[in-house]
Amino acid sequence: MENFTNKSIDIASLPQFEEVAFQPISKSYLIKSNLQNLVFFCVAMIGWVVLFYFNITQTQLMMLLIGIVLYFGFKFWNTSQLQKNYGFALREKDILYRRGYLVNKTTVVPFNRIQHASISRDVLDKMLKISTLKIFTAGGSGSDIVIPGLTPDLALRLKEALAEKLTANEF
Amino acid sequence: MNSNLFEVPQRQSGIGILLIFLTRIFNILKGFWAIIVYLLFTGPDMATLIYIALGLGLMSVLVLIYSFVYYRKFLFHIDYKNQEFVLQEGVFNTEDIAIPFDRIQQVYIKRSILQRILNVNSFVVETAGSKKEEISIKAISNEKANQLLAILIKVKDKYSEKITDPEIAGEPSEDRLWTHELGFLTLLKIGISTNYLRGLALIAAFFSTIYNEVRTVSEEHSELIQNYLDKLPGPMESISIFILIAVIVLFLSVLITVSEVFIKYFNLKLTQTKDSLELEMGLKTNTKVSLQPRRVQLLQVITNPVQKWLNLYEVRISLANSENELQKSKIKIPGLDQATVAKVNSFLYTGESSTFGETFTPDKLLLVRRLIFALIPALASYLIVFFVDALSFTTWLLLAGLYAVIAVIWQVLMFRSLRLIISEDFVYKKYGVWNKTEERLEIYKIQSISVFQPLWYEKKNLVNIIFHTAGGDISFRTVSKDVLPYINYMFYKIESNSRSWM
Repeated sequence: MENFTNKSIDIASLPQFEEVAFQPISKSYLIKSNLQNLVFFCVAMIGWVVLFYFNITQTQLMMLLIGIVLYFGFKFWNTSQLQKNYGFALREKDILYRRGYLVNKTTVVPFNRIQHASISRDVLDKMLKISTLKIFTAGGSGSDIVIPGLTPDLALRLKEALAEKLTANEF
Repeated sequence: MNSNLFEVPQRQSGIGILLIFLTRIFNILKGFWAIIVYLLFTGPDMATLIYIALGLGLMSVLVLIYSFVYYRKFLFHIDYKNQEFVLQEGVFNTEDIAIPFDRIQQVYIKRSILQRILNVNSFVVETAGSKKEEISIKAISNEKANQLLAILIKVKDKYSEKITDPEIAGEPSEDRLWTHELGFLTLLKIGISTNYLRGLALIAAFFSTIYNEVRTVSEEHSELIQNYLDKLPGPMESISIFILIAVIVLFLSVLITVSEVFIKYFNLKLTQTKDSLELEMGLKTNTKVSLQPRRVQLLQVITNPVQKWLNLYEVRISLANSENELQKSKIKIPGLDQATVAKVNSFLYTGESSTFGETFTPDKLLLVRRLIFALIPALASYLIVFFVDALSFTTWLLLAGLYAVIAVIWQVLMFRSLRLIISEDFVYKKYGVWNKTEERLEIYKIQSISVFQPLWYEKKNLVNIIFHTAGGDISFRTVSKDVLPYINYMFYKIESNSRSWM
């Protein structure tokens, strides 16, 4: 207790998380999202074509087509907007992750609350040469961070950096 | 560390390929059990059988290849430099997991029958948090498993000692021991005052069915009934019968809740020892819990006007627990008086002094949003008028109007009750129209914070905030951006504090 101090803190002068500059994620992720959208779009179109052989009126078919086109139009537009909003930032003592266009969401995880980190790559990730970094806390799924579309090299470096901070930060 | 065992990435035991193969095949067969049963019963002809055999053969080969690749790609090792346990796995999706030594909660070995036959072990590493985060090595030889277990337990204990030591030293050794017991009378009071809303709902349901019955009958035989009613001595008698039935229903519902409360909380005893709160309760299943302040993540105090008048408060405590799922480790302690709640508070949260306490209220936008959501069903129910003939427009208007008035009053009261209070060490959230709830958490127990801003909030400078803890989340909607400096203050608190949160 000898080196115990209890200075009053000027709250306004603390570092502000909302002022941090975010790094964007790889452009390859946009390709991945669009590929996924495209696959679903194709599936929907095939479903629509199959409906031709059923007892459905022309107007109903047209309505359905308009619905599908509108939905996927929104999907593709939203994907491009989402891509712009993905961002992450490392500070000295925490990691920030931002995503979402219609609802912009920023999650901040202090290093000393991270349980562990993992890197995962699915088939598309491997083709496009990107990785997903997952950071787990004890706060449940809402509290975990999953950053997609990082170059494998960057993901690995981030993971190592986090691992280093995790242990160095403890004491 | 005496040796650097497991420093190089290594595979599972070779026989693991067989284990992976067998489990996969078994899973696939399990998925197709319906088809298998169908085939067994129909007795297929020769050609189909050949096709099936060919298919099975091809599948087995594919699964064997898969198992081999899976085995080749499954690598684990201990990284002594970074102080972590590392695992790489996956054929199509690759997963690369690292668990720092100090985050390991549990390590253990287990065996299934198949593993026993093949003489291999499952090696499991658990961390705090949800289930999917654990590592599981399915086929590791006995010798290796025991070596790995010994090493990981050793490093894990080294860390947990380090963390707990200052905690014990810093704890005030104040011996303020007390016991709180729930008597028969208190249990009765809780039973009567907690769930009478359900009783009211029961009564409402009862009367509405009777009303409906009477209405349909009266519509069919309106003239007959009119005659009959004229002959009746007076309406008083039928009303008294109704009241009698109502009283019986109310009495029954109270009886049910009272017995429920008795079974759950019989002999509830809360004792404070030097460093924990011991809770014991239950008639059928005796629950015993030891509450350590360090493990408490979230605390809720709930009361309603009637209970407040009876001096009854319910305390709910969320604990962080690696063995159970988080939801299950929520503990309810009803029937505490105000003094006891204060004692519990002062035990769980020592040194409660604050230089500031900032109160935030939600923006009107939240009320608008909630009113819209509440009134949509009322408007949607208008459609029913078209389809159901019995419902006339005026009755709909009456019912929908009644619902709307109640909903609006309820939402306005709810909106007014919402408060977020941030003090030096705590975050409080207060809300509730009838059941008043006060939630609180210690800032240093926050795991992470999410800040949401939908597009339509931007103009009004509003955000939604969620505080994530290991015992659940606290969220607060449409709060002004003035809260952000306090969020930054929380990060300062969390990041400058090395106290362990669990």
